[in-house]
Amino acid sequence: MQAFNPIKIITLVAFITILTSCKKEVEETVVYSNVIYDVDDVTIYSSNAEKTKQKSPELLLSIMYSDIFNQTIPSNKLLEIAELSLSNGDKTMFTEMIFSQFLADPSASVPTNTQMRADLDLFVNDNYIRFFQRKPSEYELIYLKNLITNDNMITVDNVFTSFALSNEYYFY
Amino acid sequence: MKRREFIKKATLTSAGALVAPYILPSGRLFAPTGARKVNHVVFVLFGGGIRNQESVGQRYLLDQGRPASGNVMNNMLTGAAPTSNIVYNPWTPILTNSLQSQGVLFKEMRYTTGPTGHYNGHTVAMTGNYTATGLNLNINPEHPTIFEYYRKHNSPTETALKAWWLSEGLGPYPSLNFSRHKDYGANYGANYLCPSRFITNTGLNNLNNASSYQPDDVTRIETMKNFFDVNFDKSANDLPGIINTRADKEKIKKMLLGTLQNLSSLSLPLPTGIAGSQMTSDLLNIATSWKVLETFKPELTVINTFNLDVCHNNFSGYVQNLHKADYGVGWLWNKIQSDPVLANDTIMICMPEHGRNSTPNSIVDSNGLRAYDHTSDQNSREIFSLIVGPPSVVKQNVSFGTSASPVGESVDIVPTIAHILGFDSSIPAGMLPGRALTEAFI
Repeated sequence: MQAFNPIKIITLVAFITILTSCKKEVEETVVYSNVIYDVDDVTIYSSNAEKTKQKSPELLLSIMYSDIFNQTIPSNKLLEIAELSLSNGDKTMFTEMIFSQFLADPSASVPTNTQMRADLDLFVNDNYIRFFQRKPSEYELIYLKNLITNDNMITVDNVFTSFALSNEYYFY
Repeated sequence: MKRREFIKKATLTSAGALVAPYILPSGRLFAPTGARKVNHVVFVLFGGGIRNQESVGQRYLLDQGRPASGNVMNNMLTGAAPTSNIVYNPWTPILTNSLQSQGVLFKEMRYTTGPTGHYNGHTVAMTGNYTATGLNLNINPEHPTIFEYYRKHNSPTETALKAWWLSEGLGPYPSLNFSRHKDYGANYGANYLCPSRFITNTGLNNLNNASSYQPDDVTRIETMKNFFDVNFDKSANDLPGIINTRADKEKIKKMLLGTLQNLSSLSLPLPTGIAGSQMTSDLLNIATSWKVLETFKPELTVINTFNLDVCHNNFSGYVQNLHKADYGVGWLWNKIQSDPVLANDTIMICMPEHGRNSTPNSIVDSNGLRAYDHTSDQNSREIFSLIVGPPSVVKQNVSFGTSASPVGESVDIVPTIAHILGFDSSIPAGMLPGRALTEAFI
């Protein structure tokens, strides 16, 4: 009969405990280097639940500019736009107007409709990161891809505008 | 027909005739109470601080120690223009008959309590409540504005497309399109626009390629936005300002961008032969207000003028800007009367937000004329009001009040507008200390 070895028993119990105990969830913060901006590194949210603060009107305009032009908005430009925004009572309406102006600018970093449809996975992933600073869930990816695939009239401008007008875009 | 059946049908027919709403030529459903006097009100806060002496008093330079009196507001008031010591560039009046002759002049009204500051004056006139707040804080007023009373209590309820506030400048004035009152607020607010900052080269440079959305695009954008929104548990409703309906947004964008991108389409309140360089931000505000009126036919529009506040250091400039703003008001009334919907269905009210002091400060302008501040002396509490409208509704060529016996207060304009638009009885008791100036109406 094998002799009782308390050390072996304790080691085995400890090993099993480690294997089966609750794991602490490790949140992975991924830093994509120059994914979109070619300017700064962008911290990617692991979930939109992390966004709790609403952007001020100036911050929103500033980020919107960076998202479309891949560069920081010049301070005089921000002042001008902020004053135009103040001149209007409906801020969301003004946001729509200024965003359509950004998109119409020849120097805007906007893919063509053909490029969008050539690789929808890439397009959806890239622009979730561009506008929401996070990757889409599997569901979000599939839904948006299907929506664009099934409607040939959806343009890049339509998609970008939807991102920019969404509630999530107003938060960080 | 049996007697009982006859009585039943006759009763139903009579009841139907009484209850059924009328549809006016403007297309508006109108409850048959006859409560409304007209369907459109334009309130001109003829502001910047105007002394009764140079306006309704027609004293021109008498208080400067020069023997020259006369009327520098030839469109709004009845009276001959000055003939000597001319320190302004006179413009030929645009109106054949003064507005005074087309309505009621409350010659001596009072701004009874609180500091006579511009923001206070505007707030009092637009909320119908005196305020002691003396700072130009860029926060919404405590009491509901006339826009909120209108949008909350008028029946049928209208969107913000029917209520507009256009100010000459920014500062604290953008915050006057709704209050922070818990029962009212942004959901009942008016659209706001500051043309002197928007209809500019800066505006054009920043929005020259902006566009409104096509209906099909709106559907696609809304579908995707709704998808994004259901996957996010917070709402951006805390954004400052009012939010128009989608349909109204597109209409407003179209008007704003159309005006900005085609500035020559904006009709300007300038007499023939007067150069564009004579335009002021007051006149631009009036011109843009007309664009809004012409396009949307709002039921309630409030605008202001402000340039004559130059009176703090330039009395001649004050007289000049008073004269120009008067022309602008006459021009606006002419435009209103040329519109098939607004003509004979609009009442315009003009009132300064406050007066100016009786004694000048120490600043003398290039013509040797002394400047005036407004520091809450009795003179700066003396104002006037002009109410003009269709002869069937507004008394014509009548005036009320003397300096010994003033009639009306600054806080009376809000209840007067509510009375004109027929929702005064729906405003909860105790909200408005003033009274409707009913003596102005037939």
